[in-house]
Amino acid sequence: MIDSLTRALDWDAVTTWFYVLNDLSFVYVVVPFFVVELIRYAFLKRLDFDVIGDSVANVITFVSFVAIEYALGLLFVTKLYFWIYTEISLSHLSLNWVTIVTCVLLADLAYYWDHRLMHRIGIGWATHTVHHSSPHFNMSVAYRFGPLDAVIPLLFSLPLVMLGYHPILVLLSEVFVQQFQAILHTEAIGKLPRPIEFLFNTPSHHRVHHGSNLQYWDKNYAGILIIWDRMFGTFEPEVEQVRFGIDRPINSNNPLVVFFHGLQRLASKLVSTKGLGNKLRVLIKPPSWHPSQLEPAGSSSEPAELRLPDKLE
Amino acid sequence: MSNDVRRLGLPMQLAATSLIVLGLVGLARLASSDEGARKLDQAAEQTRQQLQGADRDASTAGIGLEGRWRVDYEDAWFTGTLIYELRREDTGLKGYLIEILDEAGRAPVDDSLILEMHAWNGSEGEGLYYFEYQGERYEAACRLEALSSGELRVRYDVYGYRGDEMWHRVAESVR
Repeated sequence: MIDSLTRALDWDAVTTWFYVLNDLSFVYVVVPFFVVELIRYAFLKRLDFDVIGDSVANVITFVSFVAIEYALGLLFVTKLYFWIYTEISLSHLSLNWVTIVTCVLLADLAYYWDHRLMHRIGIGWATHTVHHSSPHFNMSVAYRFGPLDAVIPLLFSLPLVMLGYHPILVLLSEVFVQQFQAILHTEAIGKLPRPIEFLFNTPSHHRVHHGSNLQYWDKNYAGILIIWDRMFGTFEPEVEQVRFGIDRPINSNNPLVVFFHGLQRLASKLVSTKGLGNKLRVLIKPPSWHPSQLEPAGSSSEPAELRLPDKLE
Repeated sequence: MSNDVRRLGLPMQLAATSLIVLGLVGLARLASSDEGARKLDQAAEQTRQQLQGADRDASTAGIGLEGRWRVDYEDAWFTGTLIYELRREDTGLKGYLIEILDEAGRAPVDDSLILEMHAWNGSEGEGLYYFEYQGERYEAACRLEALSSGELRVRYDVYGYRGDEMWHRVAESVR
């Protein structure tokens, strides 16, 4: 048993498995399931121009994201990752079942933290809000990305390379985590059996993550394993009917508005915030942070509603 | 488990994360070997070059290493010049010692293997450097860096000795 777990695996075979799981799943899971969802929308009399327009905008943001990711990711992987791997990483690790599974688990843990950071700092939310801004929840929403959505995840996977994992294995593991999470974007599947709901991220848990209901804000960051959220206190079960989207809806399916609204809102907030220190805080503090929070209670001249915690402000 | 469970403070969450990482990496290290890692690096080389090729296409063309290189030595055990030739073979890029120019003059040698490239992205890479010292043959991991199309810096570390050589491309007309 241990021998089979530690026996060296063939690199070409491993990359082929990842190709089938990561790339081809788009063909054999995502697209067919999206068609099923469209039929379901039609059956429920919810198939309208808004759903179609939203889905088209999602695809366009995905194409834009991929173009940025291709240039940036390629640069990161071929230059920075390999430089770290050859110059400052721990001794390199082999390719076997143990190293692959631990790499995927570590990529999943890194995903939890980078996803949480994207929600909890202003600059992270400015790009990630794009993904959350759809009032719908279907497979196409999984591919609705913001312009800088690839940056923070790349930074979080660097430690894995420093620990001795091959950069390409790290990259394949990251995509696997992302792809697992992508297929959870559906309303068509209810709750799964309890052991699965306990261990894994599921459509139910991920619906909560996309909820604009107050109790669902900043919950269920997981990629594959929901146990990270259970351990770190960010888990919330799906109880109340989920209202999808953000608390300040963009009310637009214009791909440019969808893709850039987060950065545009962040830029407006930076311009209206006084002082360099406060501007920096806007970038690294939670999205709800406002300079008035530094002032004694009641001293702010801002109207009360502007000081309410607002995920988008 | 729902949200009413007490949440760990952030330092404790980070400490728990560190413990999980240590545990998983420890497990991976127990299941790994140097030989296995070397095999992986070699096997993944083609994928890496494809990625780097794609990256290069978007930036600048890389420098090819094939051809003859001259290295001048002046140390306790050898003073003179060695000529190496790097050739593309089915098993990858390899370097051979083809001539020795010492105080006694030019002497051809038996094409002994001195370099086996594992990675080269057009400007830098790594491989294994083979050399002989007092009749014993040694190998050392080495890093190569192209300073220009005619200059190559080769660095290696063997038993604490840090080698740092400058290789100069031999022009066709000089051959």
